[in-house]
Amino acid sequence: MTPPADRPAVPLRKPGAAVADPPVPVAEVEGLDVEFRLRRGPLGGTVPLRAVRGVDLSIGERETVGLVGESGSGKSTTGRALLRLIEPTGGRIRLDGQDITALRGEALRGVRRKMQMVFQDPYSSLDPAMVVAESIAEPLDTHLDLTREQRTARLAELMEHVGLSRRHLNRYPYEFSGGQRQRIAIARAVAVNPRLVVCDEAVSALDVSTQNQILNLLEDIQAEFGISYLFIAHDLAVVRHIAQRVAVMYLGEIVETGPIDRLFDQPAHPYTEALLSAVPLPSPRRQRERERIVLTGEMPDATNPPPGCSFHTRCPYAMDVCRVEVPAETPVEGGGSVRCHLRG
Amino acid sequence: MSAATLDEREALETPELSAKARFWRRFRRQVPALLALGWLALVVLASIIAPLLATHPPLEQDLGAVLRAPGQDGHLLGSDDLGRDVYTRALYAGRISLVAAAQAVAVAIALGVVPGLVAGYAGRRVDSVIMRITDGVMCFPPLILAIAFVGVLGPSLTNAMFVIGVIFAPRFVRLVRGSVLSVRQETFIEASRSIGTPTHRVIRRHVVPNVLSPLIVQISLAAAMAMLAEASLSFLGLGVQPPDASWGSMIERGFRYTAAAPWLTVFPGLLIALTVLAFNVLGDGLRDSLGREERRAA
Repeated sequence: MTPPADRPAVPLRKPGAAVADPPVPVAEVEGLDVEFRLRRGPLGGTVPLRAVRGVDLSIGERETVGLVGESGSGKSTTGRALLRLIEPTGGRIRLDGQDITALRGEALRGVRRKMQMVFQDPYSSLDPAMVVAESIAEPLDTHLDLTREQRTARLAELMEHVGLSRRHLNRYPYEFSGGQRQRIAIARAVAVNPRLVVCDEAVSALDVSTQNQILNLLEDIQAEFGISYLFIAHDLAVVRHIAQRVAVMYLGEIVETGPIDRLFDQPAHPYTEALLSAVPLPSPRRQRERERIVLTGEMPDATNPPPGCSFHTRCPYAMDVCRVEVPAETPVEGGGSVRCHLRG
Repeated sequence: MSAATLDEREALETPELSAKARFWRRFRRQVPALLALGWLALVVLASIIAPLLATHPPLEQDLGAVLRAPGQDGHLLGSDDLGRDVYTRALYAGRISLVAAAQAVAVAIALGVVPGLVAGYAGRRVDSVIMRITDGVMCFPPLILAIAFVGVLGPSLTNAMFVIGVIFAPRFVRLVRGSVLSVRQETFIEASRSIGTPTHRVIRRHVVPNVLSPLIVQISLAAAMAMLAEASLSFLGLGVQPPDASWGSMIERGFRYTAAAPWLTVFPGLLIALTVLAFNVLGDGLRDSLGREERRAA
């Protein structure tokens, strides 16, 4: 892929062409593959497990993309591979147009400044032996060369941004509630003004009222700092609240993507449909009248994915072709795309 | 508003200070551990300033006043079979016993901590190699190996304690590795990697502090064991060589006169027992005050 240095400083435009070139996405993933080797058997033979298979994803400026799917669908692995916390076995990852797939050592640490992560469990993502100030200062100390005064000022500023007080800076994590800890984790993630923050089930561990506060906080911070989010979640209601676009993963593959309203109102993939029918509706009458699609069976063993469409083993509409042929990506009316023979 | 001012001041405390303050707050409540610490401080201090506290030169013999009972002829704790002052000799022997224990523990730490960190953090093959070596060393019974080594290298306390240190090292390897393994699983290590913190700093800032508490406890317990090992070896005549004495060799020497002059064995024995006990109690106290259970309320 073109390294950014080759990109002309002023984008060339054909005379008379429309003004907007498609902007360079903040993060872009192409054909991402992640394969784990599982040790099996007494002789230490390994079995490949393809946790992520050919995933394409792009996240625009100030955009929030939701990534949903059951546990084990590979959504967390995708997020971690995007941040280069797990080595991808194939595909390309670009951050602000820069190919970071093969970066190592110092260069990789350098780009980490632009991409940060908020983890699911706010109880284990903060070092219990460190006061809050030390945790939040970690990215500052790693990436910026601040004087003592600047550092202190920045810490206080960050605490206030996330709705805490500078007086909490010298407290230990155990002195905070889950929601407060997640605020601290968010402060740490945005401390060095990253371009992209991957939120891995960032609100799943919190109770519902706290979830809302944290979601609002994430939105406020996005508006203020111009951050893009990859929001990994299994809770579709949460994703609908915060994301503009959604990608649905099943067994390591993205089966459907689309703008939030289209995907929620007219899901194109039977799996998306099933996921949506599991979301409780606010009105009891509509909830009763709705037809629930209950998937039978479990997700297939990822070390031995079914041939053809990987969803055919559980799909209520499965046809003969589904068992043989992998469905191609097809555009959907209203935006996005789907991989399903029904829409082919 | 005075409340706000108080909070403001609390916030200005340096983090290091408040971490220590928290430790002290908990440690102060452990009366046995405090007593143990006091006793150890006393022993160490007495060893350092032994020449000032001694009533006789440590090697001075007085064959006219052998096996004097405590209090007789100016011998506070009596005199031995060569008329040497037991009190004075116990002071000087304490130096040797403490230094020997410290030496063994230092060797064990030097040989144990870094391999433990490496094994735990690097994992896979490095871990396997280090742990197999460790298992090999652990197979040897400490005292027997020490006796064998001393037999080859000649009786000397330094040799003996070095061997004891080598044999204690696997405990440190295993302890540190185990702690590192459990810390490494924690999300905050992954968080630190995702931030871009260099590996050496991840280890220094996140791994080592979380391993330190069990390590400190282990040091205290190992000191107790090293002291006992030293006493055992010296009792067998394989440790410190005359005319120097450690508490263990004093017992060995006095052992022959147990009936006639029990003070020759009772006092050094008491010193060993109390000091070993103190190290153990201190270790327990440290474990309770350094423990993380309070931090892991969830």
